[in-house]
Amino acid sequence: MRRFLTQRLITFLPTLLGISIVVFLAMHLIPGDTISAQIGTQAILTEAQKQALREYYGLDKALPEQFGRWLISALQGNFGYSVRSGKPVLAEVLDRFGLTLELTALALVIALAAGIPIGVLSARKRGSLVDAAGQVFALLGLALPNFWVGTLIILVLSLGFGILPNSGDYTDFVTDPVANIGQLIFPAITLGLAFTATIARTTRSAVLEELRQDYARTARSKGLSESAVVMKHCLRNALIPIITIVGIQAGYLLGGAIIVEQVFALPGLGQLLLNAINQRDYAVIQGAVLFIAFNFLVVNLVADVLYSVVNPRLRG
Amino acid sequence: MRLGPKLPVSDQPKGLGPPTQSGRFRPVFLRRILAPGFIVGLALALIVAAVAVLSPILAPYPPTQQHPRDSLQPPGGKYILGTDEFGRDILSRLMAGATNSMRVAVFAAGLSAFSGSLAGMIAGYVGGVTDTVLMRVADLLFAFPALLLALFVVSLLGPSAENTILAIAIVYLPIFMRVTRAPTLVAKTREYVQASEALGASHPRRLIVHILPNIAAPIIVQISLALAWAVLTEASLSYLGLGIRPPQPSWGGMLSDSRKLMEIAPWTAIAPGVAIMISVLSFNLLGDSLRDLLDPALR
Repeated sequence: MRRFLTQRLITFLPTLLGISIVVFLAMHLIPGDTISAQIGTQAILTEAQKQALREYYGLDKALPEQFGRWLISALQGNFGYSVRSGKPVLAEVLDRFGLTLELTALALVIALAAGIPIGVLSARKRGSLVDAAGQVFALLGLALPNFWVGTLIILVLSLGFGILPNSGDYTDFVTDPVANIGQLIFPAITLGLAFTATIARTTRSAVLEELRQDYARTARSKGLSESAVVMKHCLRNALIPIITIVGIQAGYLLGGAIIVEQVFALPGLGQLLLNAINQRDYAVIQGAVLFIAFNFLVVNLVADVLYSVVNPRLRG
Repeated sequence: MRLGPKLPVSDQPKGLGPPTQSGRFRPVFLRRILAPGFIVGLALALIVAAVAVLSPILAPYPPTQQHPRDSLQPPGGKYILGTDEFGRDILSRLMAGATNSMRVAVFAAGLSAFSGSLAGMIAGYVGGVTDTVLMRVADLLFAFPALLLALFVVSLLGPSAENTILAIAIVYLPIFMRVTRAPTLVAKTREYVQASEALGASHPRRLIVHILPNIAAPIIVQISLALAWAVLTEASLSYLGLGIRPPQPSWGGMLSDSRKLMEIAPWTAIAPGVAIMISVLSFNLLGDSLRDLLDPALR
């Protein structure tokens, strides 16, 4: 296990560096001149003024040198300043991150709490109506776009119950936990739906696979009830593929959160990124993309660590 | 909705039981062709494709034609699915949206399948430094959440249908590279490839005539799953205002427009979502059952 983890950690830093290079180079693919892109086309600058600005921002240097300077200041926590708000990018990003993290975590909890029982039930009642319903749910959950699910939830709540889940200002958890969860619960259900379907599907096939094993037959033949066989023996072994799929896919919740925040008008990282895209605030786009990608890597790393802890075959 | 591109993980054949030899008079292949998932998936996909191709003939009104006097008509009567705020016929826009959506999905999946498979085959066939470099690039693309990468590409290139195609193709590229590289590695050591080498076949000929047909199955499966993901991603980007440009109809864009009308005209929020769901469902079902059908490991 130690070798596996060391290897995993060794690949983490080069991947992070690779991501920074990709993002940095991609920012240089923006059509047109950086100076005009930032200042806008209305401001008419002379060539000399533009040249002076380029020198001031170090844009006249060679690309590798620009990257080096940028990387060094990024490592010091300086990701530049938002052109629109004038605030440091890192402050803006961190300010919004709490909400996105909470939304993602809540969605993950909901997906696990709903997906595993649905999958176990499907496997136990294989071929029954319950199983069929579970399978249909899994297929639909993967096919429903989350922004539509969110829209439908808002529609049902507002037309059916007269509640507007996306109205009013956002309350953070520290100020008022109850109001905060109340605001995030429907977005989290929306975000977690597809993941619930994935987990239900994986759980079903993993439990079915374990039920075919010799130890399951032994457990049955010594007189254990079917639920004891499933819950005490099979589910524990089935957890390994479930954790694997959770690890592979949990990071994608970060991407999905961008859209769900937009549907429910939540001021998270996704909203920051989308506003920055619409306002061509490139420093913020760059910072937000890097930050989300960084967290995606961390989630994957944590998943691999968890996986090696749970899977005894990797110990040794 | 799927959160990211589907990884090529083998799945259990669903509802068919273990593939035993019990059906001597019903070969496994036939049973799988007749599997409900395959039939439903194929039928739905054909309907979506037919609507996409025939929308100019089928649509009762031009999709961008405004009927100011008939704005926000509920479904029924002259407008089967109702009208939007500008009095545009929702059914017609839905059909034209199918054309736009499928065009993006087909080009994106095609571009990704072509370049990804080519890169994956070259990586597997040539090996060495070429392999390492190509696969490291694939790993890097995999290190971003899929939707974030698509958003990033579109935000840099500017929102348009063409850039949406490019963004989706780039995100799906590493998956095609991975599913072609490994089987190419295996195939190039097989006797039939060595035989063609002995007969003097050139490298491209060996790759295309001998190796490609033998690794086609995973590519076909992934094309179907890529189509599903492309429809979903195009809809997401259009919903965020970064995909297909208005007034051209797109399902995601229609849903985005419906947000402010939801309480007075809920029908504007229903139909486009159903259209997205049916298309994504059909390609997912098709891809899953094709995998059961074609994957030799499960046969």
